[in-house]
Amino acid sequence: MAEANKVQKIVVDRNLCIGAASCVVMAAGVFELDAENKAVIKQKGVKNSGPAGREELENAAIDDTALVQAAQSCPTKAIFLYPVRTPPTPVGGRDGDSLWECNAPIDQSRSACAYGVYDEAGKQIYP
Amino acid sequence: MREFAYLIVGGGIAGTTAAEVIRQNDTDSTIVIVSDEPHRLYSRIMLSKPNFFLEQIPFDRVWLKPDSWYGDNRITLLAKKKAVLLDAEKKEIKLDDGEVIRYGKLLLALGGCARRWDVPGGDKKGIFYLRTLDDARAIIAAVKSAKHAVCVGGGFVSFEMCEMLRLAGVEVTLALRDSYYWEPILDQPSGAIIETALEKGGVKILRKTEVKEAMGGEGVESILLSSGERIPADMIIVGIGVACPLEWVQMAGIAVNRGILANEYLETNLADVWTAGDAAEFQDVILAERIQLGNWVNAQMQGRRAGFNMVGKKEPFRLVSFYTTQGFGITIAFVGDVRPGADRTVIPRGRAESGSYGRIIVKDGEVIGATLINRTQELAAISKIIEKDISVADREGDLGNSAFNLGDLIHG
Repeated sequence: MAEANKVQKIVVDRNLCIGAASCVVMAAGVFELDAENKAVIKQKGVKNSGPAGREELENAAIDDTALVQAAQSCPTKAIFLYPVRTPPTPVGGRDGDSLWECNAPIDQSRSACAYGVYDEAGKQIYP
Repeated sequence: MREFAYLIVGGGIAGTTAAEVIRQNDTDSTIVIVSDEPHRLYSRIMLSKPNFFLEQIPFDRVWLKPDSWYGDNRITLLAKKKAVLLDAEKKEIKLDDGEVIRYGKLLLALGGCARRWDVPGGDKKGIFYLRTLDDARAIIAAVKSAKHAVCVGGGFVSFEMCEMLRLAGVEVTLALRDSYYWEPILDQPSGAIIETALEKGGVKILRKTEVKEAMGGEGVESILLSSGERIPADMIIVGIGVACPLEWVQMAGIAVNRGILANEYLETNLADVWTAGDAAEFQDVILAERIQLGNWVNAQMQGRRAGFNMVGKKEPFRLVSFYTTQGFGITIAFVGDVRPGADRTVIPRGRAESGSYGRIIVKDGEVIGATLINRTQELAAISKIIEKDISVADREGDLGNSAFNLGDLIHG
């Protein structure tokens, strides 16, 4: 039996999104561009940049691989995926720079918020 | 002599994505990437974005792979090396440092090159192109002290650079050779919307302008127009298209036109040689024509497809690609093939005066492309219509009616 999907929540950081639309190509059932050229998440009855829970997705059955590929393909790493509906408390961000406060651990090699999927303890599961 | 099972020329998004896919499907073979830049993979599409330039997005955000990625994946990166000679019979590539490398399979993901500005004084300090990370770094440094800038050419690069310069408080003059912005890709009404936005944003536009000379000492100080007028310029950003020298590829017996010719599998005419990204002039199965595209998604997805095809998971490349930008309060999106031509009809959608205006390009009864100004929300539907080869032979009225929901054509 296939492993249950881990991604439970998706957020697009609109400050980072530049409308390259790689995510739209990788997961057209989940992402599209809005009138401002920013990626939005297609949810039941609403389209916005999230946070969007898995059950709210129009395509709630989409598998994790497609979502992770979409997040990885983003040329500004603007897509954040979480394994739980309430992400872990913020553990990082650049001091004094609110743009970088996010609910994901800091990836030291990038000196910015990492993208990926994290478990409850903040440990990266994907990629 | 070093030997690699997979040799990839080009360390951009097409080449690196191919390497990644090859490694995921072939854990043992050797892979090398030869890149003429001194950097690991970075986000080239970010380079022209004002937020990046003005350092509202931290510079480090540009890196798409950590240094360790190459080693972790046993991918050799030969940076700052240029391929200069190809012997496809011996399966050898010669680099500019003299080293000869033997390959099993070769991918030419050479990217694009900024077309050079051929005017007297065009090589002075302070004249910039935007193609590489180092180009961007040089512009970022120059913007800090610039007062008067000139942008040359009307396209995506100029549009984004004009906005960046205005946000930085620099006075900007835009020199267009044509009579309106983006002629002849766009029609005059579309060009006018963009020009109005630029002018509202404080950009001075010179149309039908021939620059005679870039004047100054070591560094540029002004430009002289053929009209005799002089425009002050302590920096100039040139965005007049792409053109790459492909002699070394052609000399090896590979068929080239503007780009490297490839079939729908991204195979060149020679065995074991593929091409992907901006350099590839490929047979597009959706558009049913040969096309060369210079956009991020195309390069990324072609790299992916080429990687799969090189490991034997052969399928044609299928993608309706697009490029979008926003600035000066408007959004612009190009999808599919937007080139004008005698064999295609352009259907205007919406009224230019309203500021939200599209053009749908139809060939042989099917949509092949569109240009959208302030109508990005229709991008998804139009991409689908192109991808599914939906006949619009008798639907011109609907395509031109901005109240008609294009999505209805897909299921209808």
